[in-house]
Amino acid sequence: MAFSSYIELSPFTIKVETNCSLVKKNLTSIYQDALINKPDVVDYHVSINSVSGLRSYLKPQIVFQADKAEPFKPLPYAHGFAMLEWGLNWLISSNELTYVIIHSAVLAKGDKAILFPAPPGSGKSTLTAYLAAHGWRLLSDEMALILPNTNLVVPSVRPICLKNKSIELAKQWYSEEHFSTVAPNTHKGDVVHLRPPTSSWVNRKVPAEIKGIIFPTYSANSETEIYQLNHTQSFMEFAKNAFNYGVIGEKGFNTLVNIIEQSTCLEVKYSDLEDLRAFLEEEIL
Amino acid sequence: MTVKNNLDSAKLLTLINAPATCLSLTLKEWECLILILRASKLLATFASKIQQSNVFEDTPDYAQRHLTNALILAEKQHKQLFYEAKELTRVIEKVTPKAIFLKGAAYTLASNNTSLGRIYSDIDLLVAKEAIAPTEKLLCVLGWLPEKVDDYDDKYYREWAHEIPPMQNASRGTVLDLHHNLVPPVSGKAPDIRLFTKGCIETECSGYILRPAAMTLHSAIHLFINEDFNNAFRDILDLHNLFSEFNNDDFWKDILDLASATDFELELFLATRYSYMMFATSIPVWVVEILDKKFNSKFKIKYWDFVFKRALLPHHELLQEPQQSIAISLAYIRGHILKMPPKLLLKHTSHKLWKGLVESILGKSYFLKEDNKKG
Repeated sequence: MAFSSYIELSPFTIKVETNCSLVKKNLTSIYQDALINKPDVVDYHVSINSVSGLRSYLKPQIVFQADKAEPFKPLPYAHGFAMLEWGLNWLISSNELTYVIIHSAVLAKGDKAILFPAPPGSGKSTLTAYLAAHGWRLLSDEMALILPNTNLVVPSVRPICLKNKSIELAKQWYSEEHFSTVAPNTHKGDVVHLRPPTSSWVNRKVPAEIKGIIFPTYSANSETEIYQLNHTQSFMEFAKNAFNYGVIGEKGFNTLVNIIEQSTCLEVKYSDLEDLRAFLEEEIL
Repeated sequence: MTVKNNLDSAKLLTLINAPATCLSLTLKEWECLILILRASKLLATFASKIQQSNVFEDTPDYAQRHLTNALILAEKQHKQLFYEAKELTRVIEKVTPKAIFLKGAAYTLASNNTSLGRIYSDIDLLVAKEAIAPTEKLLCVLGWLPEKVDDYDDKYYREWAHEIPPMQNASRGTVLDLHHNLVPPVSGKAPDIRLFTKGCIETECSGYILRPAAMTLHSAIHLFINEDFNNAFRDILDLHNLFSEFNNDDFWKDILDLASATDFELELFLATRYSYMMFATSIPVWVVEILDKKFNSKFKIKYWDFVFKRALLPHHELLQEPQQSIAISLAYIRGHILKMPPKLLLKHTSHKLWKGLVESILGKSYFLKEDNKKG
């Protein structure tokens, strides 16, 4: 039986439909603050449904659709909620071209934000989960939505995607009801989505000014090492992580350049989260 | 009072023909319109029309956001296409000196009105049949990789179809469809392609496009000899734009002659009929008279009207159009029959059914070669 729901995913509103009880369960627990009654208007309709037919009795599969578009191959049933999240990432980054979108985590204290662009495996999600649980607010786990020609980032508060070891670590900082069911053996390993603290959600419409761009790399047992990047290096690293930079052309270029010129850009190697947090609060913000 | 949560087809057509009427839409109707147009690949086209009608600023913020997003993407693709066309023409010149761009790419290279707000999923190129193999080889070497298809589909493409499996540029992601004809040879309807390529025009990027009559007739053939009506609404709107842009006696004479010489008069008749019905296209009376004389079976016309007045509209759950599903199924069957002789169609359909059954049990990736299977 199809379940449909409206999510206020500020700055967007999404309608989600699903016939998977697993997805419904995770939707209602992880997005509880964001579920709303039928709004005046909706930006996107998505669905995440199990593939019908004989297959559904043997190895059920699910499909993500944004209206008629089906960007991914079907995935196993247990990956349902993760697929919804990845689908939403795809939807926003391929359609929302009035923002300059950078692949990075964004967290802020008050209205001062730091961007953490990082490739998978760098420990970014663990850092994100840690900071969000220790006085920082989450603006996004995955995508920085930057207003063009400014250094302002608009929050798009959504669950934090945790993989493998970081799931265990996050259990030290978050109680159980914050965690979605596990999607085992995805292409990223075991994946769980973590509901950010209510304080992040409450400030979902408050933009923040970018003060720093930090490229973090977790390295077990290392001291906290900090490398200053010059503007060119910063730009190259930054642009590598830009989702839609190629599409929006000159405006995107100018925006990135201005941000780099106004922010502190560093590469940081660390193993101690608390140490890194203190450094960021004292030196960058 | 229940809020209406869909859009009826009459209203959709009014909006396309008179974009300024969008100012009377409720937010809910805007939502339906935007979703339907996005799915039909016409959101940017509609946004262009709104701009041309000078009412863009008066539309609600919600609409402006989505229309702007669509315009940005279309603008980027537009620029990208010129680059791709120039590159392609240059790299394959030695093996294919006169490669002709088709459909969307051609409209853009010609700077037709049809190109406004257009988005592309791939680039279509027409080359001589004997040039297909060397061109494909050369493109592979240059980083255009063929899409992975199973052995049956590969055979289908190479023996029966008028095009080879799509090729994708490994670094840019652009998809290229190489054609050697406009209609699958196996259908028995494939024309002498020289009748179409005669008088092809060189564009600024040095690639070629078909002359107006050939370009337009091809568009009609592409729409009406096809089982896939997913892009039908955009295709019939293209035809309206092409007919309007080229509307002069020389053009009409040329297209009527070409249609007669290649046996595609029915497709021209259907294209003009439905373009007029949906968009009030200006078609000279003498042209209509000639075509009406050739296709005057009242019964057939009634049947075609039933099918195409519905199948040519967008297929979307938010668009209200009674009996559309039946019409689409009939159009689908008709398209299949036209593209393939019945005996072969039976064999092909059985294979597809069998494949569908296996996939429904063992998974969609079952038929792909081992290295292409994921998760």
